[in-house]
Amino acid sequence: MSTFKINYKCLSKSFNQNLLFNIDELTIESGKCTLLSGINGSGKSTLLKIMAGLETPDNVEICFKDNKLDWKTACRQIHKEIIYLHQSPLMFDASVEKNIQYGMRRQGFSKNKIIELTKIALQWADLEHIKNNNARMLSGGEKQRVALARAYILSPQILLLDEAFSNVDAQGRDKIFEQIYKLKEKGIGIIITSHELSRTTDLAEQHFQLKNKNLKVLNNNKTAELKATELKLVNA
Amino acid sequence: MESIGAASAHALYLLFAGEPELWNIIGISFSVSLRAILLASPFAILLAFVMAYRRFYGRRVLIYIFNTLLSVPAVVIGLTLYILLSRNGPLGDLKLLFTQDAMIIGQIILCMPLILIMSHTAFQSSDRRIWETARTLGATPMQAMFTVIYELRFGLLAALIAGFGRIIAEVGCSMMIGGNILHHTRNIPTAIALETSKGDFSQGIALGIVLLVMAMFLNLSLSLLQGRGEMI
Repeated sequence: MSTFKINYKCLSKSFNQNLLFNIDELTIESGKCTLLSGINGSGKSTLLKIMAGLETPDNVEICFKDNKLDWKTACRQIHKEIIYLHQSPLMFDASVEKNIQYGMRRQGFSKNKIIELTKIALQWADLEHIKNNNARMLSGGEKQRVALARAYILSPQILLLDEAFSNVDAQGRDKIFEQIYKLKEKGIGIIITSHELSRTTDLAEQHFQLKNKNLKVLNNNKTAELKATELKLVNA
Repeated sequence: MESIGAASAHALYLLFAGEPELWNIIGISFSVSLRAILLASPFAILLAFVMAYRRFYGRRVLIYIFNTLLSVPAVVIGLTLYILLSRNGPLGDLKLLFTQDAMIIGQIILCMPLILIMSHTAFQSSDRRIWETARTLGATPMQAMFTVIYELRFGLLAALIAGFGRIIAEVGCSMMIGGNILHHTRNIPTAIALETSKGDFSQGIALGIVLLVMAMFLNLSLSLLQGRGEMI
């Protein structure tokens, strides 16, 4: 998989004239796993949605393959390569199988290809036994796995995971972690927001923190410090 | 004047005996109203979607206008169209007055605001993740819009049924611009009004039964559909 790289400069977003963040520079690329942390309300989800082209920023300069792109052109490229997963993923009112096929159908995959890839995705996410169940009736963990399989099968360059472990029990969390590791091995770039630093820091090669309306790159020492603080809080 | 019992019995006889005049009226009613709904609903739903999902200049004014149109009496719309379509009116050359086409135009104006406002409410209160999930999985804006419409199908269907209910039972507009001409523009409500004014209740009751059965059938269909829910 060739490296996919996209660079965002002077990225700012505000709501009702209140500045949420103003980021000087941010580069995301395939093959790397990045942890994005920040307190509640710091704008993690909004930032991920902007990166996925689902939210319009107030200002941004996008550089892709050494070309400066305007927002609309960039969005077209982004929608092909970057997939965003909600904290609580939305399941369409259909079976698990049809949910997995949604993106492939919309992107014009051939019928045979859809059938073949659906089998692979169901096997990959261990969802074969519930493939005919209505996806809306699944548990939080199962929904998250369907969402990951639905994204995985489209082979994106970057996957943005917004609090993928919230509302999921320990067993479900393990399964999701397992899936994320598999995605990482496949060379898909992952940006993950999570309050569960202890496990996600092991997964991530770099750590960004949204603080004081800006994005900071944290070194290993700082990450370890945060992890230790979290462990102390858990043990207390 | 017949007793209610006798009139009702005669009404049932007219219905089940397949009385041609009565069924012709029913046919005209459904044909005109269904055509009006078919023409009005795509535009109303599309505009409602745009109003809920896009921010553009004049959006609030548009919502205000449609909300106002919602409460305009049918007879006022009929009067306005009558003035416009009458021989000396600005659209008189179209020679549409007292035709089914004129009735369709009137019914479109009547049902459009209702379908639009109800659809707009459904879109506005919908889960934004539907649109976002569709887009991030590679759907084009058009495909994503159809996904949202599909996910909200029951709310939108209820809007269509309410719109259909409003026009199938509407008298004022149809009477003014249709002219209540037998075999041509006489529909269920105008026929009920005419027969009642003549003191002949049986045909009125028979047509009333048709409207009631239709209302029950539509609501039952909607409830049954809501109970299922496979898609894509």
